Amino acid sequence: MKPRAWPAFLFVSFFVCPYILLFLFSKAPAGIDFGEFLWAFKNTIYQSIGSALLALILGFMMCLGLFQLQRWVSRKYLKVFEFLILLQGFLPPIFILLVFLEILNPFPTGTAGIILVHGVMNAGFAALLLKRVFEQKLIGLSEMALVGGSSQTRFFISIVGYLKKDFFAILYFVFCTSFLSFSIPLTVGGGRGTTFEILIYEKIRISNSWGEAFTLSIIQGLFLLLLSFGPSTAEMKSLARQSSNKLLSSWLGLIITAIYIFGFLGVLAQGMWSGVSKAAAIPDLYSIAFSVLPFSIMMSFVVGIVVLVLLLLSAWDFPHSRTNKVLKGITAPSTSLVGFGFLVVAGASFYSQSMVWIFAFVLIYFTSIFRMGWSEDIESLQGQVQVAEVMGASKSQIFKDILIPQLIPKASLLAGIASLWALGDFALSRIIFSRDVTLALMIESLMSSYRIEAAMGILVLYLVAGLFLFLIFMGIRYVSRRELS
Amino acid sequence: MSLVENLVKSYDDFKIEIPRWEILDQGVTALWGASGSGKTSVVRLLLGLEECLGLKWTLQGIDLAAKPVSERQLAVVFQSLELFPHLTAKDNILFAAKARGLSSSEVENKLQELSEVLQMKSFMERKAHVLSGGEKQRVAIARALISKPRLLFLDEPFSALDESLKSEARSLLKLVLEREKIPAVLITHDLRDIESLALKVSEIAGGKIVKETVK
Repeated sequence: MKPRAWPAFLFVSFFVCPYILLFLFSKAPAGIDFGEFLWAFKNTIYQSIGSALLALILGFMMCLGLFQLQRWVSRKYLKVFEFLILLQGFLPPIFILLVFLEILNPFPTGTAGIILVHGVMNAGFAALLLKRVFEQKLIGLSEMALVGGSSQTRFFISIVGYLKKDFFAILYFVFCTSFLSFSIPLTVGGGRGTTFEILIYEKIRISNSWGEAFTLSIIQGLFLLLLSFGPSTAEMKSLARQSSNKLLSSWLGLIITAIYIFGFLGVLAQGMWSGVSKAAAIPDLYSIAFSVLPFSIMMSFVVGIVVLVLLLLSAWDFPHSRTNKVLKGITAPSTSLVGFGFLVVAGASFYSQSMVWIFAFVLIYFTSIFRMGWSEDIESLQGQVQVAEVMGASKSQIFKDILIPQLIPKASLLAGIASLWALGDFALSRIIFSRDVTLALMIESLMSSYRIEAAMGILVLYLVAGLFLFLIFMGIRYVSRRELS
Repeated sequence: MSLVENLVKSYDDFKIEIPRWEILDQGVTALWGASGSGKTSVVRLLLGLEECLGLKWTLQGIDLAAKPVSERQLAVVFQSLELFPHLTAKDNILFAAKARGLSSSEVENKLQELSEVLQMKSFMERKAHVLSGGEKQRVAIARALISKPRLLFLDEPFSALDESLKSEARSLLKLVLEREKIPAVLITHDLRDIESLALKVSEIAGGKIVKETVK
């Protein structure tokens, strides 16, 4: 094998190792209950389609709201709003779950609840994607229609056909995200909303039917492979000319945007404020939370470092980009399968469970991190790498002197995001650890026993720890950027 | 004279088809043509950035097409210049010297000489991303020349410059190429580049060399 093929080979091995592990440990695929499979599959499809439609509708309204806002505020402030609108999608699901459980009592568990949570959390991303699409395709058309006297409704009806591919790409993105979701159906799915992921989880945890779980995850893997041939979403690229007009903006959209952003933040802040005293009233809760805090931070930090190293490693064979192709095309296997697959090898030792959790977490989330513009960042250096190759520079010289210095700032940012996600993970942790050894597990336990306010109180610690972690990675980013400039 | 044979490559809706092309081994050979005529594809194929089965390119008795990109000992200045923005002007040039494994004394002399000819002394320690267009271009040329390449490719090297800087840039390039005695292939659509630099002009259209003129 050529040296430049090694990273791609390692990444592929990394992603298929849960299957191999299960095979090696004699958990061969077994026959499944077809009725049960169809029921879970139907639930998954329904909730994914519902989430996608809700996210698109909300996203569309908020997109018009952002255009409305753009008429008054400078680009700098607009960027702040664009950041805030993405917050619900970027923060670990534990945040949005707590906010929903705080607002809706009783919460509509099952398919409706899953659709609600997924739809809302993805709506911000859908809004920004739509805004980029509108900026690229509709500014000129809308100005022309405005001059021609068109109404907003007539304008949007007339452009549906023109933008159908873009709408479909966004629907498709949310569909795939929801299809793969594990933590949200686990928390709010209840008995009626069992999805594919949850069925795999239950097969292992409740029925101990590893063979069935293996078969289900293979079917899921094949379905995901099919999905990977679908359309990709538009690039989140801003245009030089940012413009807005009456046809592209909406007051109602602005109100929805304001509720989306400030409603979320407000409920969160109020919940945490009152939650601190509720949590303090539970004996030993804070002392337990403080005792698990160092472990949670350390584990999340290690995840960030591993992600940083893997991101840089993925640039090694550029521009021949086998790794790039592999990571763009591959989808992480089922969370349950990965968790349980690794648990088989980890055994009961806490140390090995911790190692396995890091490995499994990175495996599940690395492709999502990679798709946050990383390959575009690498590709932007193509010209420099080609010139260096013509000059006779070796692979290692290009990697050390050209790629690493320029990629480290972005890699640090993505590693910081990964560490935040790791800090908020409770789904994979629930599979691997038998006790509440992390902050997120503690929060989830409180949430499951409907002590929402106490969970909100502990969330304050998450925010402090998350900020601390994120600042470490931002420090790396700052130092590397300073070196560059 | 260096001889290119069987330079044939098909793209989706375009084909490069040059059965035979002679490049001067002294002075500048210009490849001139309109946008979309295939100039840049020819450069990329000769550099080895794209695969070209059946290509034979004899230069100084060696078939360069049989060698990998890094061993062809060529150099290139792209239209976008592609300086390494995080390195200083000097480090950009030293990167190329290190890539070819030049000795430090060799590098020191050459760097001194190039910085004088190309008038770069005032900005050698500045990071590439803060240099002006003209300064960037001089660094890109020095970086390409420091390792004494067999041949230098210049792909629309002046197109990013203001009109006022172009004529000075042409004169500097001419001077440095004559001093270093390095043959070059100049890719351009600008007749003024040809007038001031080229000894031979090959006109390309639709992926084929349609006319050749030697001055």
